[in-house]
Amino acid sequence: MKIKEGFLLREIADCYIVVPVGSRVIDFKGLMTLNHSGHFIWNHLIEDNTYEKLLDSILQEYEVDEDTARKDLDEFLDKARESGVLEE
Amino acid sequence: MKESTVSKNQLAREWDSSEITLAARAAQRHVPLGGTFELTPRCNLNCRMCYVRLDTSEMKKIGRERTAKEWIALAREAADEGTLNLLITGGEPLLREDFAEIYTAICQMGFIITLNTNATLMNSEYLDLFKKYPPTATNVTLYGASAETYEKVCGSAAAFYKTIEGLEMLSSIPTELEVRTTFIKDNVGELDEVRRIANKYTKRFAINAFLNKAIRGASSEVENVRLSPRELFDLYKDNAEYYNALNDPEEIALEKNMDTDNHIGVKDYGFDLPPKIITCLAAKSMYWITWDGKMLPCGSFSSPYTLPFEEGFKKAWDRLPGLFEDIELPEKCKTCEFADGKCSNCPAILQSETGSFGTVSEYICAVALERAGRKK
Repeated sequence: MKIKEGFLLREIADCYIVVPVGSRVIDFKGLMTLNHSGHFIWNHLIEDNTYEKLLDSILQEYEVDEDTARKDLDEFLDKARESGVLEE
Repeated sequence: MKESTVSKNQLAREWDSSEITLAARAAQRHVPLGGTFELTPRCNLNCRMCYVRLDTSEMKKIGRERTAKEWIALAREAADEGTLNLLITGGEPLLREDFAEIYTAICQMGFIITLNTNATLMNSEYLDLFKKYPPTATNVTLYGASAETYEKVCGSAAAFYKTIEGLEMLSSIPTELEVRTTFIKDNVGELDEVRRIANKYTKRFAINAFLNKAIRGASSEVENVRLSPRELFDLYKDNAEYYNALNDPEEIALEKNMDTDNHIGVKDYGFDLPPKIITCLAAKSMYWITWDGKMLPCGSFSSPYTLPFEEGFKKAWDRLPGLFEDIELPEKCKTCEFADGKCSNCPAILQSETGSFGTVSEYICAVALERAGRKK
C-alpha cells in the first residue's frame, strides 16, 4: 500500500496538513490533519510498504508495545482509507 | 504512544477538538496562512461602486501588472512560508491572457484555492481548465436580476446573460460555488429575484452592502449609490428573515455564515497580537498582494505596504506588522462607546473613507450608530 499521487503533506503553524494538488481537488474536499505519529506513518507510505513493515518501523521509532502500535496504525489507515488517499 | 516530541501531537489534538482554529494558531506564530493575489485591477465590467477598478491607461500611470512568471515564483515563496488559503481575485482575473498559466502552476503547490470572478468571461477553455483543476471554492458576483439592472450597475446589459451562462458552466464543475451580490440603490429592490437566480445554482448566497470609497488610484460613484445605514441594515434584516422563515437550521446557519457584517476580532481568540490597531487577523495571519506588487494587511488598505517581489516574500511579510505599530486611530474612535463590536474600528475603512488613519468618518459613525440601535 502507498499514498496516492497528488497529495502533499504540508507543515503549517506546527500542524501537519494533507492537501490535494491539481486534479486531486476533484475527489478530496477539505483537509486531513495528522499528528506526529500520523506524520511518521505518512512518510513511510510515500513508497510502497506493507502493514508488517510499517508496524516494525513504528516499534523501532517509538517506545510502545505492539498492541498500542497496531491500534495507532489501524487508526491512521482507517482515516487514510476514509479520505481516499491510500492506494492498495 | 510515547513520541520523540509531543508538542506537535498536542497541537494537532487541540486543533482537532476545535479549541483553537488554524487561523488563530497561525496568527500566534505569525504564519501567513491566508493570502490574496489581486492579479489585475482591470475588469470588463464597470460597476458604479467598484473600489479597485482601473482601465488600462489608468493602470499604466500607476504601475504594471506583475508577470505570470513573477506571480508563480511568489506563490512558491508564499507556500514555503505557510500560506494555505489563497484567494485569486482582481479586477477580473479571467481577463488576464496568462491566467491559465498562473492558475495551472499554483494549483500544483498545495493551496486551497478560492477564485473570485464575475463569470462573464467563462468559455470552453476555462471550463476545461476548471474541470481539470477545480478551485476549491468559486465566488461569482451577480449584480442584478435583469439585463436592465446590469446596464445600470455595471454598464453592460449583455453582461447579465454572460453571467448566467458563466454560472451554468461553473455549476457543472466540482467547486463550492457561492453567488455574491453587492447591493446599491440601483439593485436594492431585487433581493428576492437575485437570490432566486443564485439558488438555481447554489445554496450559498451572500450579500454585501457595506461599501467604501475607491482606493489605490481607482474612482467610483459609491458615495452617490451606496445605501444609507438604515437601508443597508433593512436589507440584511430582509435577507435574514427569508432564511429564518425557511425554519431550517442549516439554512439559517448558512445565512449567518454568509453575513458580511460580522466583526470577529482577534480578541475573540483570547490574545492581542501586533499590530494592535488592526482588530482582525490581517497582517497577523493574512495578507493581500496588489496587482502592482504591494503587500498589504488586506485589500481595503492603500498604505503602508511592503514589496514582496523586490525584497522577497518572507521579509515583506515579517516587516508588515511593524509598519502599523505607530499608527493610531482618532481619539474619538478610541474612546467611542461603539468601539467594542458595534463598530469594527477598522483602520483600513477609515483610510479608504477619509484618506487617513487620523480622521473620523461621518459615514462610518452613522453605520455604527444604526448597528448599535438595532442590537439593543
